[in-house]
Amino acid sequence: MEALLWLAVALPALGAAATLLVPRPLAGPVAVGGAVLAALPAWVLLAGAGAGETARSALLWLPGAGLELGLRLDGLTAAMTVTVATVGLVVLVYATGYFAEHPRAPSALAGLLAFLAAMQGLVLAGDFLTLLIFWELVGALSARLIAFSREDALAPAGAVRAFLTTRAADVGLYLAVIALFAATGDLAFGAERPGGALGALVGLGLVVAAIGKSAQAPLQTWLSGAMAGPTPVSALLHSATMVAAGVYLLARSSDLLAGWPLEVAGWVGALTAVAGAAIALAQDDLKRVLAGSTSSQLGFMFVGVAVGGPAVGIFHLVAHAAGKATMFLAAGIFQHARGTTSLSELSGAGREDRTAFAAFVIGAASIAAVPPLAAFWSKDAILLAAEENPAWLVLSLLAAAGSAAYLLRPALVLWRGTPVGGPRRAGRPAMLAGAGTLAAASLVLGFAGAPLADLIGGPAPGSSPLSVGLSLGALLAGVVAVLAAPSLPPRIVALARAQLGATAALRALAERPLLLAARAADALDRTRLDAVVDGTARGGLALAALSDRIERSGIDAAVDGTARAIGRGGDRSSRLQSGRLHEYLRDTVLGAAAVAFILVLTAVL
Amino acid sequence: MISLPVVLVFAAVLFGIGLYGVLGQTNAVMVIMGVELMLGAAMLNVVGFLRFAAQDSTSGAFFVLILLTLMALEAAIGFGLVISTFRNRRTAEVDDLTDLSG
Repeated sequence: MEALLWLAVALPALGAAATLLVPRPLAGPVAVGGAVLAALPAWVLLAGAGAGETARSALLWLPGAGLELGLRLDGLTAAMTVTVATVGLVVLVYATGYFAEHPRAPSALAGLLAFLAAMQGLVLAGDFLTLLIFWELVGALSARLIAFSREDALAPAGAVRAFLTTRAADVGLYLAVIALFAATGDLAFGAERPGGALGALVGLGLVVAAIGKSAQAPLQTWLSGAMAGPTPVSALLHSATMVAAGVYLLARSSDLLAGWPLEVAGWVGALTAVAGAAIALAQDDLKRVLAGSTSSQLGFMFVGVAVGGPAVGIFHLVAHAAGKATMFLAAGIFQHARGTTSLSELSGAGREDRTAFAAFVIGAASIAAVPPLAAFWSKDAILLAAEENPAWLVLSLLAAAGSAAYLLRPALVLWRGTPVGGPRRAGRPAMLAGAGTLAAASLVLGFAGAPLADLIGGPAPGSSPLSVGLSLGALLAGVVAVLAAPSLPPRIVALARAQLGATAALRALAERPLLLAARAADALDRTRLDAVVDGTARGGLALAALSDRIERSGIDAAVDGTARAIGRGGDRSSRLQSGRLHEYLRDTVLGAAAVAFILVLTAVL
Repeated sequence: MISLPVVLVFAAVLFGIGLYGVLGQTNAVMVIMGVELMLGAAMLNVVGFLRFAAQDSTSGAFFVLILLTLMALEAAIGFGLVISTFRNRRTAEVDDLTDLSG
């Protein structure tokens, strides 16, 4: 089992490398093969966990601090790893069709596989340090995938916004992990929350990180921007896996977060469920509708984890992954056919591709909680659990009605709208197969609740006549509302398009102060730090000039002087050699006289 | 009566004349002549001492013989050089021969 844990992370990474290395025509098959190979260990792990097995494998990371890089298998990781691997496989099959004509197809496929590897590491992580490492990897790789369509100016901008927003929230995870280590000296899961300020920091940090990653209010705006990425990326990252990481984090640390942190998460989730639904209602872009819906459904999961425990939240996560990914894949087929995701230009597209539309409707019905589809049961379990908190129950019912409304609206446009002219492209078989598979999963996953509870532990997702009645009532209300009032008042549309003011608020509260702080830092840089740097440079120049002067006046002068003296001596002595015989003779005579004089003198003395 | 001082004074005068010739004459021939006179004066000194002070000395006589040979060789080589120079340059003035000035 230990080897399988590492294989589940390593195989997609190897697949990514292989996809980049093989010749271009082979990239698609190799990528799908890598995804299949990556899914095998995940299913074996699920089988093992189903049989009650747990495993843990760790590499020593920092021996001195006792930090380990570890993976673990338990019920929760098994459920997550299978969800990730399976959706990943389906999306990769789909992506081979979606990217078939794209010049950088291998890069996209490899990026998806690399993301899968990081995501598997995230869900299989055995402790908070490993989780943090893969959490960062997931964020970085997702930004790369969103920015894949770099010809489109919106894509890099959306990637930057997504990256920066989630990064800012990731600071919470860092603080939480550091605080946890400071308080307990251990980073294992399942510890009790320490008391005091450190404990508060742990709780708040984890909740903030989950809010950022799962696009909860007020940070939900990045998810809309991320829709500029390719549709398979949206299906894999922004419906099924990456955004679910926040819910997974809550479920994973539900012991650590018991008490007020989960209460905070539940409130954020309930409010986001309503806000996301309102945002989704007002969008004129199919993918943006789905993005708002994802925020809303993730809010449901937050509520589910907060009131019902991990199993309830993860049940909705799995059901939502299947349903929402189906819708994204179907949206990608329409996008492929019409070259756009704008709803007004997609009108009538559903009638032209009935298979894709059928898949879309199944996914939408599941998310809108039409019985007996998967998300009906999971949402029902959340509503049942939320009965203990009336405020959340009301908000959830409102959001449930909203779900029905915002999904019915695009479905009606796709089916009833008048087709606009323009070229058409049929969906590729691989794309239809992907959407069909996940639609089938939406049909059957409703029975997954009880097994998931067995696997994860905690209270089982359930339903009662009351919750079913409330759910159906909300569904009916949403449907009636859309049929009665097909278009919303423009003021509400404008407000919702502006992310209920979250974009403006973020700009005013986060971007402006940050820019001002950056400018102040820049000014400080220029006036103070630059002065220090310039001063140092100027001092260095002065010192250099001084040493230059010393060299010129002292050392050079000495050397030059010696040379000049020798030269002058040479000049003088060369003047002796005049070539005139008489002077030589005179010198000889004088010399001889001097010698004689000395001889006489010594003789006399 | 000739005595040692007379010989020495005569030799000194001869040496003086020779020195003047060496230092004062510009013609190479005259310079060589001056050298001959100086050598002659030196030889006269030796002969004088040999005659009046050390009659048994053989080394003195030997020295005189070597001096005679030297004077002959000096004259031969010196005049040979002067003639050769004169042929090449049409002059025997030593002041014109300054090619070796430093």
